Amino acid sequence: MADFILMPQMGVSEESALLSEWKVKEGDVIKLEQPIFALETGKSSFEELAKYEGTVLKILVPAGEEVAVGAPVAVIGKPGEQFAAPGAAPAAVEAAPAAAPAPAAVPAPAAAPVAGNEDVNFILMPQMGVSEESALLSEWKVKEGDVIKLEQPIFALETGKSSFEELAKYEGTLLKILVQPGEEVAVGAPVAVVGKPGASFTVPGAAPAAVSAPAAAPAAAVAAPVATVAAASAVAGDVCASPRAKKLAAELGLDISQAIPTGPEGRIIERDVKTLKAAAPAAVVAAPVAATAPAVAPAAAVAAPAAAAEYTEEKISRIRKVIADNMHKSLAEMAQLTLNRTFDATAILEMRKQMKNAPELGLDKVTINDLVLYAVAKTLVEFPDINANFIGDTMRRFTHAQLGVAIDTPKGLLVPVLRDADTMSLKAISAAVKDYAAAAKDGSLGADKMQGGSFTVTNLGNLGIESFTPIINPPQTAILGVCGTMLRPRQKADGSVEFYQAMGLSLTFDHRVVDGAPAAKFLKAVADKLEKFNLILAL
Amino acid sequence: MPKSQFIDPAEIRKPGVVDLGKIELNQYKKSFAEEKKLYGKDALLGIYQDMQFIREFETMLFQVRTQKHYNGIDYLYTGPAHLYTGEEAQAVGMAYNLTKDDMIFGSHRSHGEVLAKGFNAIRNLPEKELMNIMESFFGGDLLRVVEKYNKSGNVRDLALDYLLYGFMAELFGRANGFTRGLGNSMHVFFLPFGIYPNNAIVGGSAGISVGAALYKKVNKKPGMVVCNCGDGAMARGPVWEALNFASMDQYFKLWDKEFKGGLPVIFHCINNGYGMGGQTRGETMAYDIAARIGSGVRPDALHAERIDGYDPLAVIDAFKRKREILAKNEGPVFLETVTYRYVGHSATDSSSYRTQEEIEAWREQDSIAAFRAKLVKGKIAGDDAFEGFNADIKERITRIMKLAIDEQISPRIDPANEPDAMRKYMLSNEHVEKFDDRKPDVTMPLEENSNLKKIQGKKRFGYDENGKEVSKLMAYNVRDALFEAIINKFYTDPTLIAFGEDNRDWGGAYGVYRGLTEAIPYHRFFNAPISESAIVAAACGYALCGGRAIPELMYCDFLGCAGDEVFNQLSKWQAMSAGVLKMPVVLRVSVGAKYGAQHAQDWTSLCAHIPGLKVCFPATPYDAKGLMNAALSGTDPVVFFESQKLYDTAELFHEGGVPEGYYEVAIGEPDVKRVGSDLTILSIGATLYPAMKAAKEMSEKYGIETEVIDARSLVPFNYDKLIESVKKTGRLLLISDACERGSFLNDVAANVTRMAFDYLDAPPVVVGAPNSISPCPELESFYYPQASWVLDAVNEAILPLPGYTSQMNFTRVEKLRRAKLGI
Amino acid sequence: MIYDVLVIGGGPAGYKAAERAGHKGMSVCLFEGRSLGGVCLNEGCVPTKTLLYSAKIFDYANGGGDHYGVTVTGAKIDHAAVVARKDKVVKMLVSGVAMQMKGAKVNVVKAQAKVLGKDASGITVEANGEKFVGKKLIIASGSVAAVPPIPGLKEAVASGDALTNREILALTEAPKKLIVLGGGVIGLEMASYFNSIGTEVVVVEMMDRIGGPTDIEMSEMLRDIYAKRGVKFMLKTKAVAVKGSALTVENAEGTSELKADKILVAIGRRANTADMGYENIGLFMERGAVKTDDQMKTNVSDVYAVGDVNGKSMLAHTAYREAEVAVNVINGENDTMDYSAIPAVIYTNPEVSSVGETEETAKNKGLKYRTVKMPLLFSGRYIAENEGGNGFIKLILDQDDIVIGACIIGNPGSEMIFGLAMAITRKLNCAEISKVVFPHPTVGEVFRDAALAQVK
Repeated sequence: MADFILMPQMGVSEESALLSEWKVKEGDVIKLEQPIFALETGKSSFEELAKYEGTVLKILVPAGEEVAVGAPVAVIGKPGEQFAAPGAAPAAVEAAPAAAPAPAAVPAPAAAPVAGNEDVNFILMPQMGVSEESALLSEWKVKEGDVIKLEQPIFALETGKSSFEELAKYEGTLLKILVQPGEEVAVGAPVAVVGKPGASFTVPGAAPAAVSAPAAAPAAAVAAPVATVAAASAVAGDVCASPRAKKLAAELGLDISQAIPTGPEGRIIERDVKTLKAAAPAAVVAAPVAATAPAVAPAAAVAAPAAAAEYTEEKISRIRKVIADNMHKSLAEMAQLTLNRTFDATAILEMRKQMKNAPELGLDKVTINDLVLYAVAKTLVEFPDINANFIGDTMRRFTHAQLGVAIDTPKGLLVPVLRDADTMSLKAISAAVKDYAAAAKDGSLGADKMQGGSFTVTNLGNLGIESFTPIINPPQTAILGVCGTMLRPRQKADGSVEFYQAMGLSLTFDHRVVDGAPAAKFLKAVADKLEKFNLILAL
Repeated sequence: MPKSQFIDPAEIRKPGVVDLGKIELNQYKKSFAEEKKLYGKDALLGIYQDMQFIREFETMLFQVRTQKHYNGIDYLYTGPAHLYTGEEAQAVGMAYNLTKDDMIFGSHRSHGEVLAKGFNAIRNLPEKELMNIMESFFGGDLLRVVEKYNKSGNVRDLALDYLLYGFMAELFGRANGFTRGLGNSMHVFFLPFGIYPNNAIVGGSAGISVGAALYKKVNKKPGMVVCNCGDGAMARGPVWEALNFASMDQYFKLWDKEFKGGLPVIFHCINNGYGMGGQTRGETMAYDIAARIGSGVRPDALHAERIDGYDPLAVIDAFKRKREILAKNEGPVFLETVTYRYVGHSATDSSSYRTQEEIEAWREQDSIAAFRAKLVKGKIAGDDAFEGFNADIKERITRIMKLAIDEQISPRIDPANEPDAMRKYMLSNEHVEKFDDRKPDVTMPLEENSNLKKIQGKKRFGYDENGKEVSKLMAYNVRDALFEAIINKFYTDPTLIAFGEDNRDWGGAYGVYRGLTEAIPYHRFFNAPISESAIVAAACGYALCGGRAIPELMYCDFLGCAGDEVFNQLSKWQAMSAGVLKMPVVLRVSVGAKYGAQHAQDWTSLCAHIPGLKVCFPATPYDAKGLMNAALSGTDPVVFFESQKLYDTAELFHEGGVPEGYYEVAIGEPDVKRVGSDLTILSIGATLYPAMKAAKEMSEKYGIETEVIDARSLVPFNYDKLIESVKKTGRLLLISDACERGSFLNDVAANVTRMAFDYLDAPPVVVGAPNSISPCPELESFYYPQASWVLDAVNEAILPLPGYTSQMNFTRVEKLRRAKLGI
Repeated sequence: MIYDVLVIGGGPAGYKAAERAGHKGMSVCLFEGRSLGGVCLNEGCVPTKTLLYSAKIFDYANGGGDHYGVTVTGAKIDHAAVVARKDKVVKMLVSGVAMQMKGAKVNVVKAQAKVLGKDASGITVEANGEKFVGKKLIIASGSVAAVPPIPGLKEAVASGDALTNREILALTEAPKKLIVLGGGVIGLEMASYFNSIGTEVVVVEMMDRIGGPTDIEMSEMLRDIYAKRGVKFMLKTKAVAVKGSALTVENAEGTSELKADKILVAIGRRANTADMGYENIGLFMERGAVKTDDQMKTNVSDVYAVGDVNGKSMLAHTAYREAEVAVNVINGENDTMDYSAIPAVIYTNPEVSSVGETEETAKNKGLKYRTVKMPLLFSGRYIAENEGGNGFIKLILDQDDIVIGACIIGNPGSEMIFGLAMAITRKLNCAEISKVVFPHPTVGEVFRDAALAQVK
């Protein structure tokens, strides 16, 4: 039965070590306590002695590589014995003996070789800070075909906080660049392949997942090989809460992470859980519209082909759980109905074009979505039953538009609220949405920013959605989905047909409190405003 | 400060000289013929055998300690071995004339004394009494072992086995040892034979012996006390304190006629020339001749003389003469007996500080060999007979040793299966109203006491019918409460004595004893010298003889002066004796204020840390009286803290006021002084009041209702109420005047965190004095925890108070910073 | 063999523990020297309920039905027959417990067990001269009636002049006059029964109230009701001597002697820990009861104590839950006992039911609370079925309007109180309770009404 030789833990804090030299080669018969390889940590050098006897069947990691502690570096067994290399093709699985040091449980090194990739190394997106989960690859310093030396700068990257240069950890020829400049890449995801010219390789995971800037980009973008991405699963331990608060939350079946801490040192204390319990469901962070976004990535993006298993299991995140609960609750409790229509987007597309060309006015970053938000905000104040919350048996009608904006983040959908949006200028709305998007992505969006919305806008337009059924974020009474544009024919006064850019709008409303006609009137009012956008700028 | 004695300047300032008189050295001169006539053959042979027994016993111990076998038996002894070899003659001489009423106390090197006193008892006690002792001690456990192997039918022979077995079993840490194997080599004793505790603290027995002698005098018990200590002990302050305490003028000048005279104690300085490796004469001491010390203590020089400890008969003679002095109430006595030890201080001592010639010179004069030669020469017995004795002694020691090391016959106590095997002796927890039935010595009927009458006119509750506070002078206070409890006990328990600095005419430094002087005669209530060590040690010795004592330390800060006595003696003897001894001592300790760095510290935590002490700190008159009553009816040492800030405090909690009659507040039961639902405060001592003030303020300003629990006692401590409260409130603040670092409250906080973890809404926070000196009175509000500190700590670490700004810093970072700086 | 769990005692605590452990797949051995079912089934809860039900039927027949237009003449109650029926019910339930034990594969040893010691292999218990070893021990040895040290009482119990709950239930002939010593639950229920069947009853109580710690207002109402029915209450009265079936009492009016046919001793119960060998494992006991934490653990590892023997609540339903907690903890599940919502019922007519805090306990604990009281006459059903009834419900609410205590005097309070217990356990506030739909017409609606009235 084959045994894996693992990278030993050489110190309390070491997480990896450099395998500096092999003292044996494949096919060697090794004896107990015989030196098998040399390794180096930041502090010292060591020799690893054999803990098993047998024949070296396979060396998994070439000398010169940094390997995570506990990762297998070689296989020892009887000559000809079948074994399953960690992350090997499924074919080898049956040979994996139960008593083997459960390779699946071993955190495979980031660079764990994929079968057939022996001659190449993957350059990975480095972790630049404790909390960073992804970084923007801003510039390549090398190109495909270049011969790379150790420590040579190979690309520049940016995180939310700073810029860095990544230096080469491997020598060799840059065989392939997997990520283009400007793409956001999850930490640990491969960005390029280095090796001998002509070496064949398989990229682990799907095409290197890029997170592009637009808020509504597919969540799939951050999917990365399972081996390299820490699951964003949330446990109660992540939450700073008193034992008493945790106990109470558990008794009441509440998610303590939703409580707003008022205790010392930012701690959630008992009263915060009581407050959470007493609060209307509106206090809950995430919006159910998430369900409508393609956050559930296609299998291709999630699958980790390198793994032997046919599926992986991962605890869903805290946010995802809240989304799931709220979505279900929303649908279960409300009488939701969706109205669809289009409007002539010529005016706003033209407006957008003009603005893009006016960087001197600071308007070049205004998006179509911003224009929609602006129009919706102005319309909402005219429809008190839609700019409202329905709590118990009470309608809470808002004086101003408290406009929720759905923002997709790697962890799930967040809906920060633009306060008094009807009083904001277009430029202000645009800036606020950008700030929110940034904060939502780096996790700094406070819970208070997500409370008290009167209405929500969610936009799937740039994903080519023609119409959909957004789900209301309770206790709001309606939600507007913004769809993509499509060319539509229209008969002109003279009988001729012309094509125009029609943009879809999908309004879901709670039929318990809003009747069909007023909802339709609202939708019409929004469409009207968007079609005459230049006029409403005066409002 | 007795007014009856006049310090006359004319006399004091008069010129003159002090004639120190003569101190005799080795003046014993009896001829063998006289001796033979005086003792007779059997006694002389007995003296020889006793010495040889001691020598062989120590040889055995030396061999199992250093060579792991003795006389063909393998055994490894790993404990201490401070051997008696070379010093046997003086032990046998010392013990020769003692009776069962005479007590000996010893040191770390006292095996010889234990054996000698034991042999003496076996020889002199009636057989029936011997048998009774063996049958009743530990329910006859030891007797059953030796009985099985000794079929001589001779009670004294059996008793010899018994003594050797109980002793060896103790040395080897067996449950059949005289103190269940818990005392060990340096602490062996056996009360039924008058062998009292030996003490591993050099000079530790001096003050305790004085207490025992005090017990004999005050309670008119027959017999005397021999305090065996070494020349090294003469360098210890507590020994000098004891010498003075035993010899105070007041015994001669002020005590009632029938109690007049110094205490019946012989300080027996066994001078073997070395205090561990320090050569006393010539290096570490100044006295030249140890006997000279007597001249520095009393005009009669404590009847001091030097005796030749290599001649057992010289020692017998001296003890006989000194006993007569004690019988005339002219003690105490100081005796220096010169001797020499052949082996090192302990088994690991290579005698690097002395020459082989010196050892050889003494060996050549070996007391046993010399005595044997003398007897052979005097035709008492031939060499054959002595060889026979020696062989018998060796055989007996071997035989008993086999029993003592046998794991089946002599197992150890079993903490694995009896988890409390060691702990159970720490406290005796008995309730004894009085230790003797005789009528207590008092000078007037209780009801005529002037202070009691004054107290009776006071309001026993601090608020009147309209809820207004009673004026301070009209209100019954903590001082009154303590007085009531103590005077009541003086009239109940005839053995009760109280002493301390300024106790008598002054009325106690803080007036607690005002009115006691008129009621209690000197021998039960007296001023002690400023000798904290001797005060506590004397109480300790008094109590372990069977009396009850209230010693007093005027300030908490002086606990350090009595450190050994509180932390090693008072606290340990119940357990070291495996429950044989009781220690009914209430050590009153006042916690000061306003007197700066060395007079205003709360050291309750120090006492709580030491196993074997009960620790109380009442804060109200009701609790003070109830706890004092309980302490004075128990059998354990209680360190009874009293806050000087509170002596004038009226009873503000116990509705109906402080009962006039007798009642007890159980030691160890905290008391809820205020109910509340949002925060629990546990206070110790005087901090009850700032805690109450803070509770009021938090209720009025922030709607936070605080439950205030007064710990009342630190050891023992029943957590039930506290846990119940914390489960309710979820928050705990702990407050005391003790410096925060190492405060007992940290212990409580840790325990509550463990026992009610899931109920905590915030970490328990300890509020104590800063880790600094206690300052001048004007700065005390920065030292003793104030009500505002409670709010500060609550706001910072427990529950933010809306709009509140903290004054004192309770942040985590500040705590880290201070810890790092050691402040 | 070494059992997974040994259980000492076959009462509600013990059989529940054995049953739960058995169902969780543990090997269990249960020891019971008397009858399975313990005090509850044999001498307590259930037999008294059979008696009281007979009394209730009789009350209706014996003039109580008049208010409802039903007149019966010649109604009689046959005490011996009532007791016989009680025996039948008990027998049925006891055999039910035996079946449960069988179903859970519990080895039932019908002998008194004694704990011998504990070592690495487990805890050893001796019963019937045989030794049994278990990895865990659950102590459920219950309680016994406390017989206070009143001169002559011990002798009277021996002679049969004085009875405990055990003996009085076996009495086949009703006494003409009965002194009930102790006005707690047991005393009141037996007083109620014997009052119904025509016995002259005097209740002697040392405190100034009956019903122990129950709500004082309910206590007083109950006393008024029974006083009107002829039960004599002597409060603040101390029993000082017993001579045969005569009792000397002492109160503010002085000393007097009460004569009766029998004296019922219902002064309270104490944990049954004597001669059980508990000292052999160093079990920590306080006031005679085995000290436990909220996971039912004792001071000795692997040893648990549930039911009356831990002295916490001395109620069968507490015992059930404690048993579950102990077994769950043994099984590695995280479970803790919550004593904040233990319902208590006095099965008098009307029933007095309570759960959680009373006004008194809330006040003593310094809780911030308020009280809501609502007459049961708000319920049509109550009016229909309780002619002349004047019952009420009382809620103790905390500052967030969460229910922390409740009590009901009136029928069928005992069947409603669980709802209030749920509210307390789940920390429901009035608004949440008012959203629950209650069936109409029921007496329980008053609970909802009381809650709804608090919602602004």
